[in-house]
Amino acid sequence: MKVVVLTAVWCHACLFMKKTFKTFEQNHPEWSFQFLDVDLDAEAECYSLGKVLPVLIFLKDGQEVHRIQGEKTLDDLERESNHAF
Amino acid sequence: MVYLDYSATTPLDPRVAEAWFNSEKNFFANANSSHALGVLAKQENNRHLETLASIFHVLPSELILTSSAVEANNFAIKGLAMKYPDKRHVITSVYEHASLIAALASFGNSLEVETVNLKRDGTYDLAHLKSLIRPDTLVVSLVAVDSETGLKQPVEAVGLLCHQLGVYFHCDATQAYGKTKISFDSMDLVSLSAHKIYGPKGVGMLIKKKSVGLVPLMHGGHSFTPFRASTPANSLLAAFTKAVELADEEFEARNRKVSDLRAYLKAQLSENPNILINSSELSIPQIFNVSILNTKPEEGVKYFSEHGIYLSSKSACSGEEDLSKSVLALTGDHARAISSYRISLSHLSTIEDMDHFVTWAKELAKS
Repeated sequence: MKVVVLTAVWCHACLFMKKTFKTFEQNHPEWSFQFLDVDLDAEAECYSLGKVLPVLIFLKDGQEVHRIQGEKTLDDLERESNHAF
Repeated sequence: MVYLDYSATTPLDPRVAEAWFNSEKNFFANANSSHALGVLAKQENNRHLETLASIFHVLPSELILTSSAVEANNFAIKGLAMKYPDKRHVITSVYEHASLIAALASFGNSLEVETVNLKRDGTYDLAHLKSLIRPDTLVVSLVAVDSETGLKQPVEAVGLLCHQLGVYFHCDATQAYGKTKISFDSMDLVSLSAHKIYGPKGVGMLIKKKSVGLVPLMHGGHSFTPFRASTPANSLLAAFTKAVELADEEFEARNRKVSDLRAYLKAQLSENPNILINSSELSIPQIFNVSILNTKPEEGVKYFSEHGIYLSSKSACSGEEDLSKSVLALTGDHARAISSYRISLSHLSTIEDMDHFVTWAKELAKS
């Protein structure tokens, strides 16, 4: 599983979730994480995004299988990802 | 046209434009030049800096002219972080401007950022702030007025607390200056902008108290200050100074007019069950935030625009589409937080403007 984390430097929720992302990544060594800035990283254009950031896109064999968006706690991320998988 | 977005930006005051033009015409020389015209320009600049210093109760050497408040916010955070690399902890709030957030985020994981809790009335919880401050705290950076609800924060008290605990305090006073009484005495760094007070876009200011160390972002020659290189922008300084002088001299008259308009607007809207007023008695009179229940602000802003009314909804990216964190913090009501509009008033606004807005707001509330 690959998890793409899309953020922006001007996004409050993205800044306040930095620690959460770090712990979430540490909790899931079986997944590979990629962090992309929606304004600065050209690769971010591959993903269709609304206005709400951050967005976590879960990819299996290159296909999107789940998406989490908006400000979340670590518990939210774990619960929502557990529920999906 | 009914312009109700004065907190986004203000039109240029003709008297400010005149000051700008006078400077361009009569004091255009490079103030770093040693010839007579350069000396004249420098004298004029010094006169402006002394005027500003007198109004702000600081030293002329503590004023750094910037291109904007965005630059001032970036300069405060980045300049401190580079100067004090051992201090990696920053305290801020959910109310901050995107430029402050972006400046912090630009350090990636090398800065630890915490947010101060809010009290029930939406103001900073100073006891919590005190508990967050640590020996490695680089700066407490808090906005003076929330740009969405107009809530005024106790930033002077924050400054005193920071001084007691030996921590720098940076205050983004962009939405506050000229609209509410604010003292910079207890603040180490203050960000300001000209275009929020009827000055031109492209000029702002960072007040940096003498005791504060900063690494400059712009290196080059000496300008108004060694902390920001560039050829001195004489006319922008003249325009900024005029805008500040007018904001200072006309403060009471402007605020009285705006307070009257706000009271009128409140009276006109308060009996409508679908229109709820979010701004509180702690809000500055110029910012009046309302929720029009069961409407989507993004569509509502377009609706008002079609009727010749120009206003704002929340700023982008709050973690949930259309949700205003500021309104949620102030009201605790999700329905209000996803249907809020910011009406920002000016001494240039009129009763007719209010009536026009009220008519279409009530119409929208019916739908």
